[in-house]
Amino acid sequence: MTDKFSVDKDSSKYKLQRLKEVLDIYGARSELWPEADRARLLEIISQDRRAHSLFLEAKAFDSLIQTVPDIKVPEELNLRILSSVLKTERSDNATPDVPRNNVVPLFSNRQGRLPFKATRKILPTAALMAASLLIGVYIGYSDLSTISPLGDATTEVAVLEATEQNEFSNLLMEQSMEESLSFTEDLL
Amino acid sequence: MSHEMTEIKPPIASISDDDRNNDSELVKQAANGNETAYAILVERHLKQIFSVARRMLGNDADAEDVSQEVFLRLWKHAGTFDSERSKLTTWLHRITINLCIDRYRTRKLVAIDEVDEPVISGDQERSIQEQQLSARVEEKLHSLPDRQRLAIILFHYEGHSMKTVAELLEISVEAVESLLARARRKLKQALKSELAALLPHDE
Repeated sequence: MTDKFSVDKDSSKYKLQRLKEVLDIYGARSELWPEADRARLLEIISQDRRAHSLFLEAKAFDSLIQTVPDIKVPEELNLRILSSVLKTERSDNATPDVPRNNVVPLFSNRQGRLPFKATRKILPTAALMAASLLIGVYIGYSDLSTISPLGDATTEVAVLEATEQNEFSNLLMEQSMEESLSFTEDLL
Repeated sequence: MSHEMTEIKPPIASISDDDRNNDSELVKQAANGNETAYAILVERHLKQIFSVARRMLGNDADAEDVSQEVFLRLWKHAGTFDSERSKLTTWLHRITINLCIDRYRTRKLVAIDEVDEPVISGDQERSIQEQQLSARVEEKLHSLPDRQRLAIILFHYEGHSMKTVAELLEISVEAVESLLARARRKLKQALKSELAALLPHDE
């Protein structure tokens, strides 16, 4: 028993319908047609008058659209492209040591400003450097402050033992480190 | 002595025969600034690119501008071309198609019926009637929607396979078939009288 939805691909009606579709899409050049259809469609063209006239019409249409002249490339276009393109590139890449291809212009997006991504990458490093500078300056001033505020008053006092002085410096250093770090965190 | 002689070779211009035939290799070399490799690529692909642009836009001036832009992009972005993902011709055609569609749409806003007559060179001795016929076909071709026109140009004029056209337009083969069928039907309708003149008469 045959399925009521199945298609008899060898029926003339089906072949004619398929020929119309194929001619609409591909035109009359049978070498362009789908291979699965070719033999069957050529057969119906040779047997059926209606199919034959459809084929002739498609052939005429093909020749009609081929009346559009072939395109000729203007003779000097090649040279014009080479000279303008290569000239442009040379002026763009003024730095001779940089390879031409993989150059990513850092300031290409916004003139005079770092691109957003670059800013995000550089920021932690910059903050750390600033923090270390601050720590250095702070320590420097702290060492001076242990001497200068007391000034002459302390000259008469017995000299602190080296160990005590070290403990005092360490204490100051820890304090300044904490302050610097909290300042850095605020920055970030 | 002979060893020293073999060491001397131009660093940029030397391209082996194998590389000369290999687009991907030429693109790599062009990306590294090899102008000779780039010149070979322009020579090889210019005709196809210009042809598509000329058929899409209908005049030489616009087609030249588009071709120049396509090859400028090739030179500038050769480093980003990935030969694993697509062929160079596909890449170049896609750029061409996009530029043509942009240009065509912009131009349409300025002057809707400003389509140049096809330029017939002096050595082409075709009759006035033939010239008029081809001008009419070209005019009707230009009245098709962009994608239908592209499908016709790439398949019927440029001779690309159905699969390649699908790849270039980034659609399925079935969608290309549908575009072609609609385009041909529309053109057939628009060129009804010209077509009738070409058909054999039974009587």
